[in-house]
Amino acid sequence: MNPRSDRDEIPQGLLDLLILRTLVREKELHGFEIAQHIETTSGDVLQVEEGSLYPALQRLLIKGLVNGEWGRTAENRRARYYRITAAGRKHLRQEMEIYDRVTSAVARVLTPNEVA
Amino acid sequence: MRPIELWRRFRVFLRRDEWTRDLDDEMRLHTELRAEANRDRGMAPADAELAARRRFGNPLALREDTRDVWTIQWVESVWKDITYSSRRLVRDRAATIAIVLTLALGIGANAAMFTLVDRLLFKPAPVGDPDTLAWLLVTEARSGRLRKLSYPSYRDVASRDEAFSGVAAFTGAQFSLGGETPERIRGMLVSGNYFGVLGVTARIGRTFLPDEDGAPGAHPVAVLSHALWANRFGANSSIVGNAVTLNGRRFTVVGVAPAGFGGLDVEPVALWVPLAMADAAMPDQKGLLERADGQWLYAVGRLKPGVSLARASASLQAKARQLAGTPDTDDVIDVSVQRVAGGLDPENRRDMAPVFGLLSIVPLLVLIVACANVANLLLSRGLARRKELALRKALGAERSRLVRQLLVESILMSLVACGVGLVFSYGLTIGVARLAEVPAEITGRLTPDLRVLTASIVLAFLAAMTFGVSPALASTDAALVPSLKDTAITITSGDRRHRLRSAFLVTQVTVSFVLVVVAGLFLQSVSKALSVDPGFDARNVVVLTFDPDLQGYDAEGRQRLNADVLRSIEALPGIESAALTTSPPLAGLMYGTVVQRTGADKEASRSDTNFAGISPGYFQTMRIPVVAGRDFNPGDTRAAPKVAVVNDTLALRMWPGANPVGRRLKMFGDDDWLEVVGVVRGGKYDEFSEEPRAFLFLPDAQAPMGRISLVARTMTDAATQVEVVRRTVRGIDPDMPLFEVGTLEHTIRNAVDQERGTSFILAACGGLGLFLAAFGLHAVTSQAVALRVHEIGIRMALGARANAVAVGLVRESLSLCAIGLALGTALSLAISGVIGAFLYGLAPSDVLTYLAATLIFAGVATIATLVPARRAASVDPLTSLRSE
Repeated sequence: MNPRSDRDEIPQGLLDLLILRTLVREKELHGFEIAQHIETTSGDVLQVEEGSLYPALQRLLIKGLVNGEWGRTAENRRARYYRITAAGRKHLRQEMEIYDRVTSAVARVLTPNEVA
Repeated sequence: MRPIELWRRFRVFLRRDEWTRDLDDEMRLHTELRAEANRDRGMAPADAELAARRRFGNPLALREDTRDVWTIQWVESVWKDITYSSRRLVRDRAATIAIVLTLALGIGANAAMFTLVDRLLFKPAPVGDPDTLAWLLVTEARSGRLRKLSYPSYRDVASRDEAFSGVAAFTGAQFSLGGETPERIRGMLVSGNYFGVLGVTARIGRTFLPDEDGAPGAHPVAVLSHALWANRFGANSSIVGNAVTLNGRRFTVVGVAPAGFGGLDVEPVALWVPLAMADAAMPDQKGLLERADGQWLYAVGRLKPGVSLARASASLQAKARQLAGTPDTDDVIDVSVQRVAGGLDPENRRDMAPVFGLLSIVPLLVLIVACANVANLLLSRGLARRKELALRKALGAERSRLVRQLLVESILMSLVACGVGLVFSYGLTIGVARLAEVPAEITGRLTPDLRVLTASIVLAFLAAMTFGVSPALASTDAALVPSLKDTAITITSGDRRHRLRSAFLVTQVTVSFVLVVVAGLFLQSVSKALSVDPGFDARNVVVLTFDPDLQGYDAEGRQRLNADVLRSIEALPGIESAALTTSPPLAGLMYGTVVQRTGADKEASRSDTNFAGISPGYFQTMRIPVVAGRDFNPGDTRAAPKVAVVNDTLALRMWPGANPVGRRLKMFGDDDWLEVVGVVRGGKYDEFSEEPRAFLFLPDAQAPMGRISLVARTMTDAATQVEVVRRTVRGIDPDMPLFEVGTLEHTIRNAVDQERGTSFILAACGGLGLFLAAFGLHAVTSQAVALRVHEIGIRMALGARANAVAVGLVRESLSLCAIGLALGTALSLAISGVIGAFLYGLAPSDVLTYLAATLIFAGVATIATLVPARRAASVDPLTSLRSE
């Protein structure tokens, strides 16, 4: 279905984490900037789909993990700027711990320690 | 979901348009920036934009997806609950039907009561903008009596009040409508601005012009009601501009009122004429328009925009003295306004509101019994469904989800019950109305409408919450999952659910005991009232009423007519004797006055009394004993000295211990003294339940007034003579409408409609309560047996005797029942003060009633528990143990 399958898509829960992490680093970004930032930081490996980015942002808004404020871009265009909230930081910390535990466990399972 | 999230979702929902626009902006910006980025990477501008758009995909679909973030889980999961619940309910058909019917009885009884109460007390009047229409009430501060207005004081308030944009006045009047079959109709005399103030426009033709209510008698015009126009004039539009004959005078029809408008009263009016025609409409009270002391008009005002009821009250209060009518009155007058609603005039409203307040509580009690009943059924069902619930929980369903689904089941059943209940209530209303012989034009207005529907649905929701919550919580508690492992469900008496069930059962018995006691008290009260000796013999009497004044008879003509009527009726072969009276007993028409006697000081010698004009022979025809002096005789003519007969109550009040015959008294406002020529034994005049009432009789020849009723004692059954009497009187004046024709017994029965209707409703509710309580006891005991088959099997295998097992079960249910009866007795006694005010001839704590109710309950409860208990006793130990 997707014509641009040359790059990797991001699972939903992970996308939330990436957005939150990006906002910790950059304080205040609008949607396009968030997508750009994730892509460049990942060395263009991860591609943020618009189709999942905006639902994810709305989800974070509902949960109160991010705030959205309307402002102007450098070119004076109207844009919604997202900021992480205190609850968002706490959530990110908890999720990161889980993520670390899981990835290291997965890595241990997947790393070939015997030669076939 | 946390409340704060719910709140965020709700806020977005409220501003969903703005939210959608924001999202669109956001996405547009994204696409544009993407296109710029593409250009920066060296794509041609057109390609860059296309690529950006392609990458973004379908913005509409994305918008939907994003919106779903806010809403979809909700809708979807509730919808799932509903479909799942419906499937469950259909599968447990038998239990569902039992629950739905139980609730339908409870909700239906309430809907029926609400239909009635709403129509009489709350429903907005059928006028334009009913919320700004208000009654002007004049109250005598000392007596609390509501006073109607005189025409001069109405003019005064109407012309000078700043709170109202218009004030209209009206009064009811009976008309004799001429034609091939003369008819007596209910009409209304109204001020010229009546239709304008009410905001009612004519369906055809027009309503009254202001000057048609000007010079007295100058404009004989009439507006017909839609019903009269359709029934009597075949809905023929050409009636407008033509004349109808009212009270022997030609009135020009100027218009027809819209369908469904019959005045502010629940009893519809057939036509309207201007107040200026008062003399023609009420020939027995000529000159009312000029009299400052007349009290005959109701007034309603249209509030100016923005004026509150309180402000209108205050502005009127400043003019209280003018409104009082009599400037020399020493009583303080209180003026207030009251929003127009329901279908009763302010006096009736004040009298009836407490009665209906009490009556409305009764079906609510029935619903409480029904709810307790259903709660128990649900509890039992929850028990039977523990495995299903436990499985769902084990598969990951949260407890809140299970509770919600069980509540959805409750709500669904309640809503279905609401539908069934409405059908049932319509039948009940019609049934009560037919039983009470309420005229069709009123029952026609008692059909359930949108308001009844809304109220019933709200009630159904409340009921669902009442009976649904605790069983849902109890069925999904923490002990649920272990039950997956159990093969047998055991119940011990310490179980929380068991206690809950006992509580519901006790509630049921308590409340339905109160219902039965109240019903018993009222039924006895009515039968006591009806079995009272009314002081006359109502059997074998034909009654028929006519109104000579409305036919233009003067005093002479009236006497000739009366004599003709009596002569020709007495000549009939089936008639023993006949007489005339202005107020047949217990027929709902009473005249009142104040009398004073000679001598003594003014205050001490006065007495309130009712009075009637009668023809000689009335006492003999009615079999009322004359205890002293004489009856009237033909010699008591207009020219003869004025005479009167008093009843024993009036005699005792005026001349205690002395013989009244030969004494003299005077009616308030009259100049002539009346000589008492006789004393009759008192009886019941207005109501069966009334206290002894002072009564004064005058010869009709000396005090002609208004309508007059013929009473004719028949030799055989009165019903067979009604037609011949009617035909004979009609033969004397074919143009004169005859009304209220029938047997006296029938008329009297109508007089006690309200009491009969009330006790019927109460008896029905009591019966319903008893039935539901019996049903509940039966269900609970059955359930206990079903759940304890295993235990019973073991006990019997160990040697317990079948009887002992049954007795144990019965004792358990009956002890709960006994607690309920004790609480019910306490509750009934607690409310006896309120009930006492409505009872006649017995105390609200009547021991026999309580005893009878207790016995009935004990009997019903024993039967309801014995049947399932016997089943328990017949358990075969081997089978029950093997079934595990």
